[in-house]
Amino acid sequence: MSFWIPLGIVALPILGFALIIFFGKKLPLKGASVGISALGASFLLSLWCFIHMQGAPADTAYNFNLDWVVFGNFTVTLGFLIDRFSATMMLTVSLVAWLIHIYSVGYMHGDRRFTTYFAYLGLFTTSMLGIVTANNFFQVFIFWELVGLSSYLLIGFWYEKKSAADAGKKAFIVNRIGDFGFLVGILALFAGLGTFSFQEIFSAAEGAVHNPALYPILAVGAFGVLCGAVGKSAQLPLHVWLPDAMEGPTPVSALIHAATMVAAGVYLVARCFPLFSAVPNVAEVVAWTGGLTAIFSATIAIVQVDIKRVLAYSTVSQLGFMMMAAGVGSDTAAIFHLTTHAFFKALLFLGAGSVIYALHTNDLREMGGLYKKMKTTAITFIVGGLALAGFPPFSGFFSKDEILASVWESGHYALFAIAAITAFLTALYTFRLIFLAFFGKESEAASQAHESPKVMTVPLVVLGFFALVAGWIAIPGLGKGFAGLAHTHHHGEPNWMLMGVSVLIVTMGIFTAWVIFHKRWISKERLYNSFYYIAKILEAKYWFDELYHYCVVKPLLWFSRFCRIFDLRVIDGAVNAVGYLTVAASKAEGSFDLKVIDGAVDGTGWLVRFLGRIFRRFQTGQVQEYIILVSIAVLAIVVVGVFLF
Amino acid sequence: MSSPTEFLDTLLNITPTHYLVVAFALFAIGLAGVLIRRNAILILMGIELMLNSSNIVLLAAGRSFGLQEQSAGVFVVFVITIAAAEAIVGLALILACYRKWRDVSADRFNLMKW
Repeated sequence: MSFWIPLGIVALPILGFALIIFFGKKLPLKGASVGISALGASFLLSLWCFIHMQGAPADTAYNFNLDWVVFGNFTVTLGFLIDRFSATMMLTVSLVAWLIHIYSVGYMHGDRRFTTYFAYLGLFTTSMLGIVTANNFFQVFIFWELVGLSSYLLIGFWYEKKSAADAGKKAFIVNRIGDFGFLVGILALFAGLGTFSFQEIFSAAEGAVHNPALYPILAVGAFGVLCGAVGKSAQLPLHVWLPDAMEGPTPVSALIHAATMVAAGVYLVARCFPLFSAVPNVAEVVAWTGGLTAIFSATIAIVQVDIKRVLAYSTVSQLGFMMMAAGVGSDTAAIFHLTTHAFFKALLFLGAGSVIYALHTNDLREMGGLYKKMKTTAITFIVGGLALAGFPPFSGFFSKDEILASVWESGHYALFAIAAITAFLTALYTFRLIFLAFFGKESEAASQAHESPKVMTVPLVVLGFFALVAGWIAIPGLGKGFAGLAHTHHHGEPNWMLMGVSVLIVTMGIFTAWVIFHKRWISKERLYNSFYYIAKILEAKYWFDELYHYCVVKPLLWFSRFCRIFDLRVIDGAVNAVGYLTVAASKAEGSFDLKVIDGAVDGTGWLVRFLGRIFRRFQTGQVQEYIILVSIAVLAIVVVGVFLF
Repeated sequence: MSSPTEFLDTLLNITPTHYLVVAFALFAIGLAGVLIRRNAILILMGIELMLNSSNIVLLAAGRSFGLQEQSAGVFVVFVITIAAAEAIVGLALILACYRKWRDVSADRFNLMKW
């Protein structure tokens, strides 16, 4: 494998970005063609990579290094790490992003800033590919921040809408909190181990058994990675930005949720598996963060009425699942679920986008009976829903089962219970969404709806295909198993008992949804009233936004106001006082100058004038008077001379 | 009025003091003329008188201190010479003033007044 292949994968979309930004309006399809073909090329390279890695021995890892900056004996290295793990991610990211690019041509048709939109999409994809291919923390952090930037640009893409602008800011700022921890972690690792490189850090972590002094550094580093992942992957308590990110265009939501943003956190935690295994306590924190996030957001998703918000909370919940898997030590399961999730969540979002495109509303209560109007969208959406719920033989079933099995086997039975409940809730809210939107009585808005254009439905079908089959590699006997496909860590024999339980749980969830939301044997209203307080809490999303508003935003505003007043009164006061004193001193000095110095000078002049005025009287011009004076003077001298001496 | 004898006696007994008295009288008259007269020519004449009174003092002093006759005379000749020159310069000035103002009154010459 050549160095140019990963470079091409990462650089092609950003070249597309540059081309579109500068010449977009003049290019065919207003720049979309460039974005799509650049990413298509990137996808083909990723595919080549993936196939190449499948042919190579399982633990093959290509490590390319390039000295970027050299300061004396310290070198910042950029480089790419290509192994089965990153090859799988590259393929997933580039494929999903490519399909979303194509879909966007239809969805964003007629938008005023169509060209800019495609430029941003390219930047977003590059950033994510950069994270996936990086072989050191330094490079990860660069692309990590680029992801943050491009998500900000895209979530706030319709910045004329205040809610969109606010959502962009929120995403950026909340991410910044996590990124701060991440940076601290990276720098701690660098300070302790003197390197950013994954390889060196992981080998140090594996050697930590013999060198206990490394534990604190590794713990801080792992915790920092966790902080970054919690921010980027929208885990508790930093999950608040993701539902708000729905303000962006729907394909962007799909991109964020499926491939380019939230996946980054989980990917990094899984990539840092050796680091977390060296510090089991932090791994435990990861697992519990994931578990709690999963169940919290699943409960919130049940009561949401915005189609995209239901999906958003389901993403948070599924990411919790992945974190949980990574925390209990099964990075394989985490990445497997990340991959299948990328396909079906992209599918669900694009399907939701198709619905929104047809109906011009996000509100579930205004939908219903869409199945007859939008067959393609509905069928693919149901495929995505089944995959999300984890119903066999859809992809989600295999990956979720893998997670449940790994949690069970690691002995975290409490977490397993949480995961099982969450699986039930997932099925429930997914099918609530499907029944409300596609079945039941045809709503007023739905009667006007018709199927979306081909450019939008074809990606749906492709994604639907992957949502169905992406999990089949895990079927015993059919493939090598995802463990073989993605990475090296084993997974044992299928646990038939767990599989049965999981299918049972999912079926129960779907059945409950069918009873309540389709057949309406149990009245929604009565259910709502009997669980009134719980429903209220869920509708308020556990008051997380309010909590942040009162604990972070308000104090910050107060502090800012205080600073402003301090600035106005004290700082400005001091400056003004200095100014005032200077003026006063200058005035005093001025008057001293005027009165005393000028007075002395003028006084001298005045005295001379005064004396002159007196003495000039002697100058009469009369020669005879002068002579009189001279005579008198001579006489006086003589008299004095004679009589005194 | 004293008798002729006394007068003669006085004549025969002329002392330097007599000369000094005369010289002083002459000086005083000259000075008075200079101070009192308006006419510039007369002022000039007063000055001549004062110069001459100094000549008398010079000669008298020369005689009474027993100096050689000539030494006092030399001074006197100088004084007379200077007086002559001074008279010429003075008269020329007066003539110029006269041409300008048609007047030789000293009061009129007050150009140097404050």
